Amino acid sequence: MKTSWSKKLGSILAPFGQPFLAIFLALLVGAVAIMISGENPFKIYRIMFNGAFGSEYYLLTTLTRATPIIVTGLAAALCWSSNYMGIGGEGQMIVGGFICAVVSYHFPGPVWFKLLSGIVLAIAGSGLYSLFSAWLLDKFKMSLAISTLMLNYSAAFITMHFVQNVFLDKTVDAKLVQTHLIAESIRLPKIIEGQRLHWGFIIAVVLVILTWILMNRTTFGYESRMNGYNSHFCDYGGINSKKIMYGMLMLSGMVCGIAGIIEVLGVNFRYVHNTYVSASFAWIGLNAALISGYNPIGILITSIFLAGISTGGSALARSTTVPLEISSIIQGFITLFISAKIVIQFRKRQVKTDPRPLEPPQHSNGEIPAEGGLTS
Amino acid sequence: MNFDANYLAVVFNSTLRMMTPILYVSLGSALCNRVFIFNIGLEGTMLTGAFTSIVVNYYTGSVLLSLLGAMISAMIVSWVAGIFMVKFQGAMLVVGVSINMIISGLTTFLMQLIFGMKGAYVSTDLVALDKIDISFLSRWPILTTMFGSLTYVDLFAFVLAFLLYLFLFRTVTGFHMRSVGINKTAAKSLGVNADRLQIGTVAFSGLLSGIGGCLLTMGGVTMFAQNITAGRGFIAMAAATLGGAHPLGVVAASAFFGLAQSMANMLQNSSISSELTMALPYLSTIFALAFYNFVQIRRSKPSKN
Repeated sequence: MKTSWSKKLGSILAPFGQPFLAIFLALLVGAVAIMISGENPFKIYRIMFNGAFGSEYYLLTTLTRATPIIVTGLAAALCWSSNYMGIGGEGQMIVGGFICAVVSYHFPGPVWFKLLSGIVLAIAGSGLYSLFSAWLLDKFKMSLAISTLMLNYSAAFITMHFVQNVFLDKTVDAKLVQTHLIAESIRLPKIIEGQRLHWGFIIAVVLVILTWILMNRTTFGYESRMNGYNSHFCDYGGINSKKIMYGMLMLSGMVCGIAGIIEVLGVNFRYVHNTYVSASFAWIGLNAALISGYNPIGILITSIFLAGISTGGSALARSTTVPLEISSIIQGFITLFISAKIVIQFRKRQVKTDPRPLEPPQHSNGEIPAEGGLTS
Repeated sequence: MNFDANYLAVVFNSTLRMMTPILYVSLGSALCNRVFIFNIGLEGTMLTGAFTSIVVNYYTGSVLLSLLGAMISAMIVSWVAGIFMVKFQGAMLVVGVSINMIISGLTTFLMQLIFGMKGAYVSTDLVALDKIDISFLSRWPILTTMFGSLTYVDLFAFVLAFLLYLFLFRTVTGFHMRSVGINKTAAKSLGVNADRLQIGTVAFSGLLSGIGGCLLTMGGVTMFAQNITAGRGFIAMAAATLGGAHPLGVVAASAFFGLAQSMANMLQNSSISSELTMALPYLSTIFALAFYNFVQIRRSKPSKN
């Protein structure tokens, strides 16, 4: 009797327990790091909280920072939930932002035409860029993780080349590698006058809803989710997993491109080399997707929370001696603890089921090291 | 003519120096591949080694302790990653990504606490790894150029590759490791402690990547910069795949990436824009892997029919 009761409770709490347990443990680790730097963790966490959500200004700053994280998180959720674990969000965002900034400044014609072609070309460009890694996976069975990582670095350097040598804005500080400012009339308007939060946040929320509809209410979304559970079964059941691969990877690339566009039109008004990399938007977005289990609504909430940790970290750097990297330590530990199936293992141990099932091979990702075994 | 030979010797030398940090890490990655672990956290553990070696160097000024510190710290980080991957069944990619994020943040965090600065730390007090004395080659200037300013750790990388080859294919533990990689359940049913082997391999790969990191910061110029590894851990993983997870194949693959890296450095002085040459190692990784896989797929097709 007692076991069935606790089992039931465990299964209800398990999906909620894991993220909160992970966040608690990560904050604990962060507290150790804060103590090493010679400060009181409670005081520091209070400053971080106030710096993230404490006032209207800080809250809106956090939401501004959360915007690209939400969008890249959605992109990561789209491809990861359908079993294509690409980590190329950073490169896709760079491509989108770069194309948008360059086209909407240099294109001829009226301003609205510049803006429109900038957005369209940026989305198309980042989609095509993402298709390249899909093509590599399809034709050459190249590990998606490796190809997208290598493309991240390549995209960063190649766009830097073009900014430095072709599109450089020489009117301001020559040390910054950045393009020209886009016209004021095509920038995203602010939601509240005088604050940093812009309409990009609304776009992100709309994308959350669209992604939710795509994943839960369309055939394509259903098929790709099934593909995420078991791709072999899907092939057997008549679902074209190749179509899903190309479709999802292109879609997630386009969504990441939108994140770049939002940053250009709403925050920087130009493409500045290294801004997306140093803020690690795409990585935090991926973390948000993982923490929330690819649930779009969850991504919205988690991204705001993770962005809060980042802005809280910046607040620390202004007023204390604790370095702002404390935020990326906490963010990383949350994801690490999320990855562990601690809760599930705990329940299993109660039931005493023996040996754990062999973890499935990494599916069609090409991450199958067994190739090495073949050569011997 | 003489100039050309000399130029090639310089390229050869710089390739050697560029490839050995990658070689250490990709040997670790190859071992992981053999036990069916996709360890993307090697980038982070390499950074751990690079950072720890400079910190120990800063406090003790001892080369040996720095190397040891790099090995141990990277091994501990990797061991934790291994526990999360195997014992807690975390998705390997997720564990790796979070390890990289944590280490990237932690090293910058500690850098500011210890050195009180961000960016790059350079100091004349830091000692470098001992260089191999090649004065017996002084009669041949070309050979001196080719093998100049190499450290003993560089040399050991090649010895290690051979030792690991013997280990993997000539010892019982090596055989067990390969059997775990091919079929974990079958290996378990034969009494192989598969979990312990996997965690041990991940920890050992971390140790190797720590040496690679140490070589990066104390081999040529002694310095530490934020995220100094710059994707070398990822390139090393590609090298392990390209080398067929075979220690000797990995040497050849690392040599290729060393060449790409040294060409990138060499071309910086030419008319080609330096930003494009910096992308060269990463782009050549993609092309090399695509070509390798293309050949593999071609070769495997007729045998199947």
